Amino acid sequence: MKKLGTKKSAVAGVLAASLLIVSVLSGCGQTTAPQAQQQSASSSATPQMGGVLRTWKQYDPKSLDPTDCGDTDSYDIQQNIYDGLVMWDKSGKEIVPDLATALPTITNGGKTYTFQLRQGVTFQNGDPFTAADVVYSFNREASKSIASPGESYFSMIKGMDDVFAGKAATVSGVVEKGKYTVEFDLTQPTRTFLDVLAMPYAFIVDKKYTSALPNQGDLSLHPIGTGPFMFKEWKKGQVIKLVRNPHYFLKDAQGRQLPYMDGITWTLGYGNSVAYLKFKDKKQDFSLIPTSDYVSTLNDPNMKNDITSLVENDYFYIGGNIKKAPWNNKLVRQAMEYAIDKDALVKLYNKRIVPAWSILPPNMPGYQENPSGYKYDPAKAKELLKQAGYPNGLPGVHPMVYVKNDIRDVLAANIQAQLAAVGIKISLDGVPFPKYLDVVTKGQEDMVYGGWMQDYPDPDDFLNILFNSNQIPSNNNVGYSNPAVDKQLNQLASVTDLQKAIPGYQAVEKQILDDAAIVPLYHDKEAYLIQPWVHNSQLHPVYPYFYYWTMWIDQKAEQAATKG
Amino acid sequence: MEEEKKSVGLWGDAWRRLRKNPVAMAGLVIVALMTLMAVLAPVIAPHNPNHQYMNRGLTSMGAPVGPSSFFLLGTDQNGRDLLSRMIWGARISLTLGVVINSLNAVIGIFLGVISGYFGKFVDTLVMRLTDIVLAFPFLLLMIALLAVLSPGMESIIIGFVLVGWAQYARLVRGQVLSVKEMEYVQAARALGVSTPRIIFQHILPNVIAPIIALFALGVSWAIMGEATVSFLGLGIQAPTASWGTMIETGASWITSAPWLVIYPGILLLITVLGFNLLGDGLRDALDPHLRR
Repeated sequence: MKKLGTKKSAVAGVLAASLLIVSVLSGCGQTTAPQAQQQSASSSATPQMGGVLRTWKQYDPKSLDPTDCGDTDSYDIQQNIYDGLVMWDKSGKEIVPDLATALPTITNGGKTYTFQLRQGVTFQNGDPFTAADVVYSFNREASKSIASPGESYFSMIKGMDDVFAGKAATVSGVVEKGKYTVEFDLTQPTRTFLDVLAMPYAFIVDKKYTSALPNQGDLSLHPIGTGPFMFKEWKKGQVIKLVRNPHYFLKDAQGRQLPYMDGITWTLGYGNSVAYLKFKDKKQDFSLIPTSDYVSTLNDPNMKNDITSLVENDYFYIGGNIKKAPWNNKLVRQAMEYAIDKDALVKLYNKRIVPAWSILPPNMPGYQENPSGYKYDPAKAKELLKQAGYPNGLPGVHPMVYVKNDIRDVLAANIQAQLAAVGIKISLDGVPFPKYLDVVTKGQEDMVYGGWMQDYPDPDDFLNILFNSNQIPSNNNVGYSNPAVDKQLNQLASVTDLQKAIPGYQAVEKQILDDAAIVPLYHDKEAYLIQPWVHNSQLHPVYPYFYYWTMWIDQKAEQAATKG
Repeated sequence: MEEEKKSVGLWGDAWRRLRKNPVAMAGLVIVALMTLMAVLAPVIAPHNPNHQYMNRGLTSMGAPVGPSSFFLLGTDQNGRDLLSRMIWGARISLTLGVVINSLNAVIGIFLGVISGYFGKFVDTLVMRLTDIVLAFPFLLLMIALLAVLSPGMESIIIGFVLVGWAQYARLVRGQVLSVKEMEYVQAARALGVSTPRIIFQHILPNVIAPIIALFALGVSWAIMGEATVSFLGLGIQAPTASWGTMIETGASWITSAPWLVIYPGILLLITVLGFNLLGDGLRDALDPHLRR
């Protein structure tokens, strides 16, 4: 809220495609979020030190290098290893200092941000943290050779794009003003600048350590940051282990050293169903609920208390690659808008989702239920295909790439049948998350079934990031390009008061949907399981995961339960 | 008279012995029924195998419904009729089994014959190649192959033929080695009969019997293999019904809707069993040493 009252453009994105959770957030001012109803976390108890959280992921994260942190799985792990200058508070409503001592002073008409940094902070290898690390980290993010998919989120910083394009050697807009003082100079006031600084792409790495790596890709395998947990090991496809960073700089309100837990272990490589069984067997502290077991879990007197559910600020969609035929034909894309019965998807997903006719999710400022007035009408879809010159349906079979898991397979099969019914034949290309990211962030797909989870509670994050043509292909995966929309999005990003920008965003959203850039499918209302001995397991309000460093484990309760 | 009885005899005798073997006949009946089911799938399947019954075929919370008079074996996770998918799945399984083994037989016979007949360097080359192929972990090869090619029917055929011919080649070579020393072959050679003619007229007809037995066993191998590969998500692609894919996608429902896995599993089991029994029976029936 208020502090964000800064300015302008910005973009950010975390590819959501992944699973779970997340609650919602607010945007400058408004907000939200249904916090998780945690039956398990009794806040009255005193946190205990020790214990290891045993959690899970179906797939390996794409990377543990912040410059390649564009997806929820990578973020979930990286947030423990690294810190940024600022972060979202637990409510998800405010940006608070992290490696900075306070929020920045803003001068020069909103174009200069000056941060004072914490002193005495060390990286996990003992190297001291200073302003030089901040400058280095932003230069690394901008580097042409690293080619971070997140660079464009920082375009408002002077010189960032020049370095990325190879036109300059260093980012002129990030300046070391003293050992513990850093100044950011922006090309224009940007409302979402602090939002973007709270993103994982802006995590700070150790200059001395990282610059000495023989290969920059090695940071992903041996990450070092200032965060609450230190990297221990990553066996691909098997396990990732983090352990407590005893020198972490944050303490809790009672002065106890954070984090409370000794470590976090993610086991990798199996799907929801196995995770669920392991949870039931008390061998895992966290799980999602497979579609096949949702009803029985709700009715299980023991397990129903372990469920936490929340509304996520995300949306899932399908889209054809507009750079390729036949998707470059607007009539074909509009036909798809009418072809999908979204209520069928809702049913197949145990009614755990809400049908989407908009891009912005229900808890996002500026949400409109159905801006373009589409509805399910297969006859109309066929008619539009006919007008497009395909009276007998589209020729060929179009592969649709998506992140494979138990529920997506079912939904994708339904989408396939629905499209076939109007004359659009697709094949299903379900792949692991990292492979999916490889394909879509290069714009190589024919069709995509994807998702987007918010980075920050501002319509800019969905509309500008996903549909501005300057985001092709890294985030604008479908290759949507409309100069009028670009112009409006750029201008809206510099409006400092979000409330004033909302009517503009609503008009843009309608235009994007009128152009049928994508077909919105649904917004998530996810439910997951957490063991009762895990406390403070509230979700990170902006990103989809936990605040691991304030979670704690009642080890006696755990031992009693697992023995029994 | 005596002469005629002998020449018809190989097949007639084999059939006679097969009929006397009840286990083999059970296999034959199963195979015949499965074939009939595959051929008549469009006629006997009660529903369109790909139609998703969003209301009737799913509970209000989106779970599959159990067996009823409308869906005799219940529905799957997408509200499709399970029985109809199983029936159509037979087409995939049997087609793959037959196509793969026909290709394997052709390649295997060709290589086996030249290896056995010409011997020496050719024999060494072909047999070492066979050893390599047979020693290679099949599943690993399939996974690697399907990672390169895109999953689907063609890829499965390519993969199964890459390894499947070796069994045929080895079997045929052994047969040829013994047959080519027979007097009638020596005689033909002495008379100056051309090599191709010796191979096609004198040797091949006399090594064909064990190949038939191997073919039946090979079909069961291919059906099981397709199910395995499809179970790993690398095989037949949606929405086409294949038993392996059905078992894979149904696996997570094993506690809440067990029919998704059990019925296709049983059908797969029976089919593979049928081909195995028939194959064993044929092997015995066509083996001259077991002739009584």
